[in-house]
Amino acid sequence: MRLEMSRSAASASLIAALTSRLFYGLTLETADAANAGWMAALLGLALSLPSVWLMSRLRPPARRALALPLLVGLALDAACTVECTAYSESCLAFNHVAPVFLMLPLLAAILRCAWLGGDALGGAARIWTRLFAALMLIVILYQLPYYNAGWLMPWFGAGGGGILRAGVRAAGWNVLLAGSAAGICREEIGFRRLLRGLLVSTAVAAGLVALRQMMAPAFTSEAVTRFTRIDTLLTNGRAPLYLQLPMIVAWFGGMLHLMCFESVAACALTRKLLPNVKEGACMALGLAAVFALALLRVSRAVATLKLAPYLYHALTAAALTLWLVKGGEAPCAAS
Amino acid sequence: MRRVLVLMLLMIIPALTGCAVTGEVENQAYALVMGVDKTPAGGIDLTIRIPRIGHGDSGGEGAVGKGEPYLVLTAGGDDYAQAMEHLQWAAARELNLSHLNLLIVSEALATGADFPALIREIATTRHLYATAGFVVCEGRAGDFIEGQETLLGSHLSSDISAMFRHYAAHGFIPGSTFADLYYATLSCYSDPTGLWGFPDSGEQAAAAVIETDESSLNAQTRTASSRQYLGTALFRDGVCVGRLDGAETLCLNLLTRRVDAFGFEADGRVWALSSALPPRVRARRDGDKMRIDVSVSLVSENPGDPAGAEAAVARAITQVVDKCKALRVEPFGFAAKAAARFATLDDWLQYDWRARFPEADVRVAVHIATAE
Repeated sequence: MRLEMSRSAASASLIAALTSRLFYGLTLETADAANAGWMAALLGLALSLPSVWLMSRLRPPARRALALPLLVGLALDAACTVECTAYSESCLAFNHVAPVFLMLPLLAAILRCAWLGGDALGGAARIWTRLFAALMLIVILYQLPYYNAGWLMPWFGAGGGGILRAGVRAAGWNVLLAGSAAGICREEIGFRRLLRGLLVSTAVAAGLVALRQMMAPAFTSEAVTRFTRIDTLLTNGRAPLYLQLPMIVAWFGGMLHLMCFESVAACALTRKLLPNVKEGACMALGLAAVFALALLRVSRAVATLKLAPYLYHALTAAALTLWLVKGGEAPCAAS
Repeated sequence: MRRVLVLMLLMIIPALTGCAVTGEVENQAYALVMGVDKTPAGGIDLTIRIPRIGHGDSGGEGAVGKGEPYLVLTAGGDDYAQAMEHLQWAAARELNLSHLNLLIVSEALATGADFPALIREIATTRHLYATAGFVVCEGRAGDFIEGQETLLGSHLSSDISAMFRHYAAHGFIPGSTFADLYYATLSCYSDPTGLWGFPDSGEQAAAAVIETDESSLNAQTRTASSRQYLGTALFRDGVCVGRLDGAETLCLNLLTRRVDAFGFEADGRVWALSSALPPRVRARRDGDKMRIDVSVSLVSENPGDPAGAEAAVARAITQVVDKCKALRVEPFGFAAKAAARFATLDDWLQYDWRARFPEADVRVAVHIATAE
């Protein structure tokens, strides 16, 4: 099938998408951990491992049933990513353009990506991870004199509660994207390969979150808004202005890959749920869900914001229930 | 399916007009310097300096900006937002703050209680990327900007950058940007600083001496510039509460970063010194009191026993620390080290570093090695 991808493509896509998701989530979406965001990323990894293991050991019928909660989560999360990317475009240059017009080019890119298929996305992810590493190397080297390690203090930031809340959010993204990578793969992907993807993504994201924290201190004032966070993320004011270019390319490239991966995975999971429906129709359904949620700005709705912290709980509960009801197995997965 | 997709893409194209409304370079008014003043009625005056397009082409026919290469515009309003609106109108082109090099505020405004709120308003101005140097000036910022000239015939933006790099390397000014002020106002670490700017008195004298304040600098130097930058404006909770002169600023810089080269008068001679390493700061909690140990390593170009110079530099630094303690300001970066002694931000905020700093036991050790 065109929407599915090979094991190696799924693995590369998982790393590219999850790194972006963790970084953008822990720096923009949740400030719960304050300057201990990197710790929340590590906690998220620890929390997510049992759920991901459980998902990777489900029997095929159970896995098909799991596609439904994953699909809902993916569609919502892809809409959030589209909205956040459009918002960051607005902050940087297009504040006079209506959000819907900023979303349309992104949705066109997703459409094109879905049309090219899962393996093309996986190939792009392989190239992107190398390009991303090169871009970040430039940024880090130039910012080296400006990093202030003191801003990581106190070590536990907002405290255990804050780190736990942010860690649970991170675990939710881990479970969602690792589960989707397993679902989109045309072969058995195996827990070990998923684990490798989670480890690499978490290590890179935790490092980037810590470096970002060393460029701008934890804000303790109540006056901090999402605009302040995104503004200080992309143009922190302390490093030379020319670093905007690699940082913005890295930011938008990562976000674009994330939204494409989530949307293509949503289409593939729709196909898994409706095996008798043609692939083209499944693609249309999956993309329609993402586009509708994005254009209706459901991601900014109060109910969505209230439900977002429970992604991890919902997916773990779904995996556990399916394990108990339909049973698990120990497939001899190639890893 | 392919036809449907192509049709959908074609339908989307008319909507992709995001770039159509971005301005051409000729339509932009790039502000290089911006000054903020408080009016007697309590409003805000904004003054900007923008390059005139076409200036610099020697004898070019129809050059728009023959004569003065820069244009100074001022607009006022009841508050910052309104003044910015009026400035947009006065600029007659799209006002672009993304290349702002210098943000200057008058001393009267910086010492006012409403300045912290203004800092946030300025920082969240669209496309003002906060990389600008931050200056507190004597008198009106508008007048200060009008008198700012380029020295070497280069562009104002590169002139300002080169001047500040040079001054910061020698320890004459703190290396503060507006972003530092903004971040420090929103966070819970050390207090921010600004550069101190003042108009030249115009008196003529001999060469510059590093260890001096601006009044004696004016008396002993002659420069081409009518606008001078020397010293530090100190902030507490976003309000300017005091100043450090040139010599005190050098001591502040020795505690916060490396200083490339400076002279220091001790034992009846001027020592040519430079920082060997960044200063080492250690914080230790002794009950409710914090003990800070600072070790400053310097290299001397002069032969001879540097013991006297070591004691003199340590004494000078301690005096600056004591002055800041009296003002209840901590601009040395000790806060981040002290915060490491606490588990969480809540504990750290509860400790209230700004209130406790005057009680802190700060011990300064200076080591001077002689260059081979």
